[in-house]
Amino acid sequence: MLGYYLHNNEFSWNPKKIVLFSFLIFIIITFVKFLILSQQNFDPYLFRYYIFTTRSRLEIDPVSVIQVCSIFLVVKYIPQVSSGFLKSIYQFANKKSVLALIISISQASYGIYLNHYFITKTLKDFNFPFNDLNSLIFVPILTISVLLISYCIIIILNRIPLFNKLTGYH
Amino acid sequence: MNKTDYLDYLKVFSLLFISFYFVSDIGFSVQNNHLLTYHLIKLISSLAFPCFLMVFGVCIFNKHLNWLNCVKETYYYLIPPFIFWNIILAIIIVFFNGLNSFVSNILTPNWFIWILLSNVLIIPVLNEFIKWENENGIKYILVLFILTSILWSLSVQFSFSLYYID
Repeated sequence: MLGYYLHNNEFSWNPKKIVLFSFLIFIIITFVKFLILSQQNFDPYLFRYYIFTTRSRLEIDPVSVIQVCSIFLVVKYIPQVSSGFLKSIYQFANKKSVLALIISISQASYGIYLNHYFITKTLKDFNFPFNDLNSLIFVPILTISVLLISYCIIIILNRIPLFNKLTGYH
Repeated sequence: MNKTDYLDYLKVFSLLFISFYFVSDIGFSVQNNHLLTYHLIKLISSLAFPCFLMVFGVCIFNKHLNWLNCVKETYYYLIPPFIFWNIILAIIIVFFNGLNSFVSNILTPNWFIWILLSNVLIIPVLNEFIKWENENGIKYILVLFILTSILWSLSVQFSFSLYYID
């Protein structure tokens, strides 16, 4: 509902102001959360990133809702703000090949969501010695690899007539 | 880039961060020297779940479908892939962990899909409400949602929650 409202509602502010304001709010809230976290005063019940009781990871606390709205508005209004660094990002995102890849991954998003878990689960169960590697480099690389493997599985299965209705690509 | 392409970008970024969330469990779990980085990644990447749900909301709200078609169409897209990938996951889990871990491993990781499926059931009702009340209806539901969210946070903060089942 919130997504629908933000998508359809055009705000009277200048898009540049919206992007800056949303970005600032996101950074400030994240910084405050991280500060509380680093001082070992992290209260998982107030600023929760994991709902222990229901084992779900959905953020429903008001602070996180504000953060998500900020992200949504930044991504929505960035195409309308074309100056400096943002302009180069926009030009890159607007390239035909990049846009085609993004749309294709987006169409496969439900299938990727469903199948990326079993790839990480398999990696976990294989007991690969991940701890010997530098996490700061290794985790982002593994994240992108998992996403690409999931995407490739979906694309390959989608070309097989019987499986194309089961992959979640639409 | 047209007006709705940013939703595709949002979906892809959400997916990337959801993947990041799960992968960081493998990469950081026993490395205490990166514990703070691990928590920071969790803090930011966990926002991808509600973000993904918001994009889903944009895609399925107000499609001018009656309730039966709305449920039928959405379930047609959601259920078969859900069953298919879970069968594959079940095979992998039974292969590595045996039959005992089957139920806990199949049902709990898919909490997000249960939310999607239950949302689909309520959407025809909300759709009708939006058509009837327009923007004021949306604002009314959002205010209700934010109030509930605040009350819920406070209730958990002061241990009034009914969900203490762990």
